[in-house]
Amino acid sequence: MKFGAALLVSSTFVAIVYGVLFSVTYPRVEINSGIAALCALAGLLTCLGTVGLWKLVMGSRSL
Amino acid sequence: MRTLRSVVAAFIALNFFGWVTEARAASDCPCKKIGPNVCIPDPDCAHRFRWRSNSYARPPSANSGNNQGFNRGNSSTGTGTDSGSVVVVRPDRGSGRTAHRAAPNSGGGLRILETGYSQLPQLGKEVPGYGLYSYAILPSDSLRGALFLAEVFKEIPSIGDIPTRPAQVNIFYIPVRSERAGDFPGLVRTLAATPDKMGAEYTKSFYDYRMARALLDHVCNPPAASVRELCDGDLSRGPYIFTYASPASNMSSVPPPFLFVDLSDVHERAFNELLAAFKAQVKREDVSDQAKIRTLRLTILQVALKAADWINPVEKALADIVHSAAPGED
Repeated sequence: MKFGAALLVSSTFVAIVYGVLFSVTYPRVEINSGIAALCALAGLLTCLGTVGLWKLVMGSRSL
Repeated sequence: MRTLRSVVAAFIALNFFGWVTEARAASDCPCKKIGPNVCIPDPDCAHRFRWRSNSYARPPSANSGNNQGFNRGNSSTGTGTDSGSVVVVRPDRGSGRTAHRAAPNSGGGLRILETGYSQLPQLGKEVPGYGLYSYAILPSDSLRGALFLAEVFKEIPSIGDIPTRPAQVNIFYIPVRSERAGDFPGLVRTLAATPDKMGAEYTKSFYDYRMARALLDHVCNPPAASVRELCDGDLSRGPYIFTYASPASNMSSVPPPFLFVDLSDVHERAFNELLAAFKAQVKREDVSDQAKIRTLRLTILQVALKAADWINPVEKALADIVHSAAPGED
């Protein structure tokens, strides 16, 4: 529950950041559900990647 | 499990590498595919680009051509091929190797300040005296064409609404069937608030596809080396934007340099960004250097919009699965 909730919250946050960055970079392009889904996916992958990297780094340190 | 994770990580890394290198290559040189999703900049082009960027330090040559407003440059290679969908033809005269890109610039060295659209009812009926002449070329009546024209009507003001003096204006001609040219003000009055409908109506009833084909024929007769591949194709996709320093619709053959933007592979939702980049590009002193069009920013936009298109069906399928798994909950 803890990991899942934290992942959900952080992915949502990162997805929002990605969405804002997209709208700032491309002000003429309308954000539709496809772009929103892409941001959500990118946010989730970013968080999962960060968790993976964190575990990798911390794991190698503890060795 | 570990193997699966490694495979997934390798796939993501490979995709990311391919994306970055392709974007980088698109900004400078054509991409040479060396594997799925992996490409490297063409080494020959990279070499040329380095050489060329070193030579940019030299002062530009004087405008010595017969065509007013053309900077003839300093090249003996004639043409250059650039990546992406934009083709720039460089001059065919000069003494150096590939020292300078020649470019149509505004007549008398004046900077272009505005772009305004107008109708072209007949070949050779351009109004003389404008700084640059651009043509919206649609090979056939299509949804893409309608969307493109809708963006043109949204992004580009009518030439009558521009107070700037003509020598500093890029006039953006849209071919119109001569018998319908008189009806255009009525179309603007009724549909100006809805550019999408206006674009659709224009492509259906107003646009002169015969003239557009004639314009393409002029560019491809004979084709410059950099547009040869495009001219050898069926030219049925588009839209295309063609920019020249003088009226070009009545020329049987259009000598370089010119700016030819092929939007065949551009996502429809990126047309507005491309048009904005095009408007910025024609304001540059060197119109054909593509610095505003061939950017990493626009390449990333293409990738994002295509990825979004792929995600949409997956999203719908997931929604269908959820609905079928939990019927009656909505």
